[in-house]
Amino acid sequence: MTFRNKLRFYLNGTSVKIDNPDPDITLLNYVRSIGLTGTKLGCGEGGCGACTIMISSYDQILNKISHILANACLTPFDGKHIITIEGIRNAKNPHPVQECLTLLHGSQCGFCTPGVVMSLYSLLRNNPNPSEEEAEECFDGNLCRCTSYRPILDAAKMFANNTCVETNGQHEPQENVGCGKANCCKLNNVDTTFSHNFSQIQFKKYDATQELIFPPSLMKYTPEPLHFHSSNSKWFRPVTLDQLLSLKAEYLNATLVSGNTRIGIETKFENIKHDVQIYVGDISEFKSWAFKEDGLSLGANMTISNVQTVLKEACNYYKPHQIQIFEALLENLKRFATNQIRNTSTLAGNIIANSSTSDLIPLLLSSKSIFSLTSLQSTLKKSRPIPSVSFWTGYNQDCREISEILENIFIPCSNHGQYVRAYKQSKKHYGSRAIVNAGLSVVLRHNSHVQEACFVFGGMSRAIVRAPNAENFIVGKRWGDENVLEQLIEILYEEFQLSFSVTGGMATYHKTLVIGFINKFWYDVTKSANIATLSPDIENSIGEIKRSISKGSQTIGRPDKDNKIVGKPISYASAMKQTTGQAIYLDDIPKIEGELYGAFVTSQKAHAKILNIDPSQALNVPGVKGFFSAKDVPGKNSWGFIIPDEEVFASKEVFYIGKFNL
Amino acid sequence: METNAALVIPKEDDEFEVHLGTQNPASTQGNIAGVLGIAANKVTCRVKRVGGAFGGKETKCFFISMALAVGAWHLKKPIRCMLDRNEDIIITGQRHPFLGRGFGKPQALFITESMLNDVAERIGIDVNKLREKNLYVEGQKTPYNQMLENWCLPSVYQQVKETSEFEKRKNEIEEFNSNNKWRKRGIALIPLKFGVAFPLLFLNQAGALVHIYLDGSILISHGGIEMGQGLNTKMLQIASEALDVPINTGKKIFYNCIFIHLMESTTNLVINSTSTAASTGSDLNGYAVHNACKILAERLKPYREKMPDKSFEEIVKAAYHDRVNLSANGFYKTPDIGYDFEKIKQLMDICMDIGRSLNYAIDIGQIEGGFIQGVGWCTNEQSLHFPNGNLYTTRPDQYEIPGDRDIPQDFRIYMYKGAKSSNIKSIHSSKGIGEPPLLLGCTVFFAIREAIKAVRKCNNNNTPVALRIPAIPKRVRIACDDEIVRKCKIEKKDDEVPWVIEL
Repeated sequence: MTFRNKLRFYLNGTSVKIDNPDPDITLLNYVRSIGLTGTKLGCGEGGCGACTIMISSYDQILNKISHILANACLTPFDGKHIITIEGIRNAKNPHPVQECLTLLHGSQCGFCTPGVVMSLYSLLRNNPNPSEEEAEECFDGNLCRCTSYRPILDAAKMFANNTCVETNGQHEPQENVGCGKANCCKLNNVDTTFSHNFSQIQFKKYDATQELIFPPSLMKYTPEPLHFHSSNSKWFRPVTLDQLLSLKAEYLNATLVSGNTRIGIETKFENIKHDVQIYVGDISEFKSWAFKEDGLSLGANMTISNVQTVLKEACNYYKPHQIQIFEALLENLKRFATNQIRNTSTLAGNIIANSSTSDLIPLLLSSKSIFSLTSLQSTLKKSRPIPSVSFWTGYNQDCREISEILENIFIPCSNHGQYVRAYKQSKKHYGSRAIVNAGLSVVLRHNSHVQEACFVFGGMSRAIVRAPNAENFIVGKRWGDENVLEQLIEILYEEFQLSFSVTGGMATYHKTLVIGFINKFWYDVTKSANIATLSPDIENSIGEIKRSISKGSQTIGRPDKDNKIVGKPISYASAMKQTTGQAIYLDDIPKIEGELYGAFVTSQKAHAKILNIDPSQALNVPGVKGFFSAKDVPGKNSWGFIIPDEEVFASKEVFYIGKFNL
Repeated sequence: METNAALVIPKEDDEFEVHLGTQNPASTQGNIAGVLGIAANKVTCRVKRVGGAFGGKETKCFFISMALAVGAWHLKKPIRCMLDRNEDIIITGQRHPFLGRGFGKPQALFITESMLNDVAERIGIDVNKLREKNLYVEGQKTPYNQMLENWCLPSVYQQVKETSEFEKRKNEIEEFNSNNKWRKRGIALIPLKFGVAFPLLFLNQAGALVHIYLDGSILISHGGIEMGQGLNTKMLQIASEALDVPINTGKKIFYNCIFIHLMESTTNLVINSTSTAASTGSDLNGYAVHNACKILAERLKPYREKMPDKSFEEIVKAAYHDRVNLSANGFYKTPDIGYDFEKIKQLMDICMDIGRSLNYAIDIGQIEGGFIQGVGWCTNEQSLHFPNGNLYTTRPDQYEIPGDRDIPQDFRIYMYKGAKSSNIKSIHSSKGIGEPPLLLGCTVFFAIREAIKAVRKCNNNNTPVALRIPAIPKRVRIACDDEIVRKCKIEKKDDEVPWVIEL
């Protein structure tokens, strides 16, 4: 096959072509390097949303343009239209989203703001009339440290169906800032001796037809094989499964990458080298899916958000008793990472990464899903089905041959009498990694007789594990019998022998979660199978605690009426620059001729005597101009707020990890 | 959200221009001069804006620019660095129950309120009754011999208790708890008095410099730093009021200040400034800006009286032609450090006396934002170290701060109705805002503790609850101390090294 080595895409409406780009450069590095500094670096791992951008692409088969949010610190993008904060609009003529966020005080320090704007903007591009719930959901990948999010959510809800966020009529407002709308119900019957800035504002209406169009030339875009390389890495993009398989046969140790949500982090933070990467995000066969008679066939490279869409359809397509697994999975995926990550990370990526707290694997195991492994043998494509329960052969080992790829995942329909649930406990309800999770399945015959059970737990060991003793015990017993539950719990107390020093450091808590999940499952199935009537107390504790749409009210005092401006709730002076990405933060200052970049060498030991510092190896790296430590300080190597008792550069001894030299 | 960053530019003759994100440019300037062995007048530190600071950029940021300055000194080249998130967390230290924003006050509050809880539980009375019996009264002296005057905490307390329908909610929760074994709720009400000032007297000073150019445009500089708290916006409002010049020229949307502008904070315009911290920024700098503007307003007064119909530009030109100095320096020192600040909150209801607000919208943003940060502090944010001293929590998925669906579902803020401003000496009778709401985050902690008590009560377990900050899910679950927890208990063996160490 022939590979093109030119990267082509559109950026904010302009066509861009780059010859053989360095495979290690991220989109974030690129846009910032050309002066689009509105997109910020917050964490480099897709965890904070400061670098959020929108990627538009066109599906020729469905004749549909889709817009996805993504973290620029991670994402590949040939043939796509990338929209950054600068591509929306500017302070002189702001987009309604930018204006609304400014006027409703949704931006304080402003560093997270471009990402926040992108999230809301992208929601509207996909759905000009979102619900309030969707307006809240769209920010699950954006962290903000200054605001309480309340003003951000207020701004977002201005675009949602039900626009007034103030519905709390119990309290007499003295003077109220309202939801921002001129006719906000909160401003009724308010003493207007002091004129509100807000009440005078007519917000721009959102008009989807005014948005940047999808570049027509990209509608004709057909992905071609691409290959880029640098001195230490090679990057391929095959566009058919056959091309992928032959590349994989040629480069046996190549890493397959799609959303880059795992590999990107390994490369950046864990210093793991992936010399040959094969990007598999543009292989359409690899993203296809089908409703089969007895289950769902999912291309292994479907993104998590694609899977969510398909599962929703499946829940309508199949009969109610068949969708137990799909429903449980759907519920579970709502809490899978963040919007930005769900849009780019894939089924196969999650399965192969095999995290001990994977949100997917417990259900794939308990549902007896089937993985198809495919390889090229001689020139023939060979596939073999492997039941998910046999896929892993040990800790971080699976049964793939070195040339094999995971091509397809088959998730079966549930049967009559089968009940499947997923549970997850994390520090935060959304956007947070599981502490312990579970995929639990039981098949009942004659209403309550247990025929089959599969209890799978994440977070209990280095890998995701089953609870064989509990499974064996329960088979043949009667579900709903309280004595059986008691015995089951007793078995589970012994099932997992965790040591105090277990990863995560919460052994006792992990065990209580297992017991809690099984209790919940027990009563949920008892109720769903109509085995027994539950007391209201227990019935209330089965499901998740549902969170309603948040709302806030602010009852304020009255400014001195002699004042013209002091006391008025005017917007932050630079908020409009922040919402449009035009505010300049330190690293947004353009480069100065001859400028160098400083990096810190920090102590890896908490308490250590410095015997010798030898920077010669570092100084040999091309581009390194110098190394400086305590002996290079022209003045005093000490400072202190009151007593100068801290060293700038460690000279003889370090006291903590992180003490540095430059 | 912005990590520590600096750009050090060497100029001629040992001069250095330093761009950085700090709350404290004057000290940075001194420290850079110190490490380079040059005089402070050779170093200019400039801060345009800071992408959030919260006390973390008061002193912890010095290292970066000092180290870069040493490199720039030797190489004679500009050097820039913006730390990666994980580097930043490792180098600058982390938020911890006993470090961080509020500088000792969160700890003091938490210890005191925990003691009150323990005392109330031991002697068998309602903790709120105990608090109410022991609230300060007007004219009482604090342990620091500060006389409490214009003391409104009892009535602020009363206001939030009534508007939040605290007793009614408390009864509803008790009823819910008695009907539910597996789900429990809690409620707490914490009063808080907060002194806004630096304890070191000399720090309570500020300067400002205001220039009026011939086109009538005004440039304000002050010693404070804009880091998202809205300081510059408030300073513009104060200047506008004092000079009687609008900050927006009739435009409905306010973002382009035509007449009054604020560019950056820099050490060669306003000198020896105090760190923008301890919620003092708008009080100290506000008066300094006000004073400078008042000097200029006084100088322009004869011209305004003489030509009442003329534009500001023409008035300025007339003054200039008369050789009037159109630049003024303002200075302010707090007359006496009297703690005059207090407020209260209930689970999701906060009532706060903020005197007369300089900008209600910004102050509400500070109250709500501070509170959510406090909720993170009390419930989720935990630094963990591996036994070898390496930090585990270096990334946002490990050190988890609140997200948009972690905020109260019903979040009500009230300003104290009875705020009397006549006796408040601060600028426009306002009160500092930033840190007190942070401390109130602990209300959530005490509400959780109440819920745990309800679980224990259910199991006839009346031993005192020992719960540490932050109340992460693990600690909450274990503190329930029910049969499941006891049976799941895994004790540390003598030779075992824990996976991580909790400080």
